Amino acid sequence: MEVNHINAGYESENGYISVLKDVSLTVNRDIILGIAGESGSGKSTLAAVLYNSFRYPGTIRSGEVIFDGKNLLKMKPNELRKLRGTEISFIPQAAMNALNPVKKIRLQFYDMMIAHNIKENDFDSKISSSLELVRLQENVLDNFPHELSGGMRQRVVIAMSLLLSPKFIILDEPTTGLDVMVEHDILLDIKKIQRTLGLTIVFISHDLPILFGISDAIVMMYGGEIVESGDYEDLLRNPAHPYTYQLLKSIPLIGTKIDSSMIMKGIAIDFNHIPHGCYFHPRCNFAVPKCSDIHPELKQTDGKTHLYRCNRYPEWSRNAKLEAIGT
Amino acid sequence: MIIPYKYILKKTAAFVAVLYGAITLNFILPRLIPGDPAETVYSTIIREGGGSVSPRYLHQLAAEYGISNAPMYVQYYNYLVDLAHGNLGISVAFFPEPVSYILYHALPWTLLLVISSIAISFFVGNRMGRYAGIHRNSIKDLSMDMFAMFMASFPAFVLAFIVLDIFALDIKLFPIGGAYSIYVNPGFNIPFIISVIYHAVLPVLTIILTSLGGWELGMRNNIIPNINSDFISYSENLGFKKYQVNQIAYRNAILPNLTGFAMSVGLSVSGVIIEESIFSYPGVGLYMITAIDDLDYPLIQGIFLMVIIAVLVGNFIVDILYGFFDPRIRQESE
Ligand SMILES: Nc1ncnc2c1ncn2[C@@H]1O[C@H](COP(=O)(O)OP(=O)(O)O)[C@@H](O)[C@H]1O
Ligand code: SF4
Ligand SMILES: [Mg+2]
Repeated sequence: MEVNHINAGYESENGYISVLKDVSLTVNRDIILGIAGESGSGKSTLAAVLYNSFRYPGTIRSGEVIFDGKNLLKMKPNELRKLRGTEISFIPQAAMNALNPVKKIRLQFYDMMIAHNIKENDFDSKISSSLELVRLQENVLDNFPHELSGGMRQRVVIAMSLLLSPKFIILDEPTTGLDVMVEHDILLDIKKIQRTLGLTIVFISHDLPILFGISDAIVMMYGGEIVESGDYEDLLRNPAHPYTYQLLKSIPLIGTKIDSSMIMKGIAIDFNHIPHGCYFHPRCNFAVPKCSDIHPELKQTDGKTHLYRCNRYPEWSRNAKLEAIGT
Repeated sequence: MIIPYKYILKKTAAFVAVLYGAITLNFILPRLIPGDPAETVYSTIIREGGGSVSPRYLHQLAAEYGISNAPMYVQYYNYLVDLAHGNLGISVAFFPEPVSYILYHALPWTLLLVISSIAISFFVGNRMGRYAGIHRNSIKDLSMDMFAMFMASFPAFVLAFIVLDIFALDIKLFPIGGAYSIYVNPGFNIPFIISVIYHAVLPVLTIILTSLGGWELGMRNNIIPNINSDFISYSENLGFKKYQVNQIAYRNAILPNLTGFAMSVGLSVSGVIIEESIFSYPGVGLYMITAIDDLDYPLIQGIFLMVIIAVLVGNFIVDILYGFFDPRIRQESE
């Protein structure tokens, strides 16, 4: 998937609020691309645009999303409908409430296959293979959604998204609201399924440890912009943007005491009052006066796939190393 | 299909308890109202017959009406025993017909009007609301809403007069009253059935027109949050067909309207009273008017009891249906 120059935002009483600003990215086949950023950085907006499910008051001003050579944003509704669930799938943020409360799970699976004109003879075999993927017993089929635990419901949603073998899946904070152990299990399963079926996944989360744990490549979002992107190892070892660095540093490790220098200061950007210059400068530990004037462009590091948006790279990272030695 | 036994049992117990309360209330209320029916009959006989009535006869009358100086608990016991035997007392206005006999003959007509008008109105109104909700904020939606609101706020009796005036008096398309023509033989035969339908058209139409708007607006307002719900957007995201998505929204939106359905049974019965008197339709409503005119307490009481039972039964049926339709409800009660 190829995403080019997306500008999108929301209509409001005070006019258009721009959220995504010139977002471009490439999702390579057979990998998990993680999209990270604090709440309110525009991740869900981006996910909805990628899936062409962005609805009013959301508006797309410009850009294209190329999937299999076609622009999803220009596709006819029925053509797009046929693609959904069969070629591409979306697992939403509130996945726990994604199932119809008054229908048994089995019938919801049937509906999905009726929608895509699957032969009735194939219904049961398709259902059992997708349940097997998410390690669910067939008896969940005779339950209503509210009779299942959160984790099981989540697995049902994943099974339903995988039912007709789509190759490309977008997951927007798919484990919100689950407890840590369940979340961990589901993430491991997602990773395993991705590897065995050769899926391409866009995985969105505000939780850096989870994201770095599961992703092959990472995109960092701040204020509706991409501020850094690249291989997960590059970002982890040599972050090129202070936002990535500060977020990584704020992750408490087992056995260390939390001190104030580790806590990420400030709050996420308010899209009504976007700062001048670098959007991150009010919270950046390495900001210099020019940072409040000059809005940095997205640049490449020496490694070709590693992009960053900062006026002071690599200077700041040397300071960071000194700082680390000093303490 | 799962049968929610526990849920049904609980609802049945509640139904019986409330029914018992209503029956008791029906015993207490008339005893709080001044005057007694025996005296009404007595004065009617004096007025119309111009004669006099012996105290002995008056006493006998009082006994007929269950009015006595016996202690309350004895009266209450007798009342329950009578009720169990279907004995609701003797009508004053239609003396000496028993109330149960009058109700037995009037009730089928009222039920015919109530059930057919509610069923049609519920179905059509919900369909309209679904259409309006799916096309929300478009011209189609707005014009439908305006029509619904206009109709819902239009007084039923005014509409009844207009309908009667146009269709029965001016263009003489439908009869001005009665439940069937005097030229057919009551019974299970085609001419009779056709005549019954023909006579029911205007009253039913009027009730439908005045109640349609409520369903339409209710459905529209229920379906809109459903259309925006997570499970609807998820089914769209999975490529469900438009009709499937709408069906999911509709089915979830119709549940609250089912509650409205129960309440409307009660409302319709009271609305029907007006319609029946305007269309001279020989249902309970027509008798109710006479009963009030003549201070016919036993008949009023009988009708009151019947309306209460109709409302309770309506609610009970809907509760049970709800248990089948919405699995969450029955689980909450377990
Ligand atoms: N329905 C909406 N109407 C107006 N503004 C919205 C709406 N949804 C989101 N936004 C704005 O878009 C910003 C980004 O939201 P979102 O994409 O949901 O972020 P994330 O998923 O990263 O938490 C929010 O800060 C908010 O200001
Ligand atoms: S441009 Fe300046 S403020 Fe922005 S991240 Fe780089 S150093 Fe910090
Ligand atoms: Mg989000």
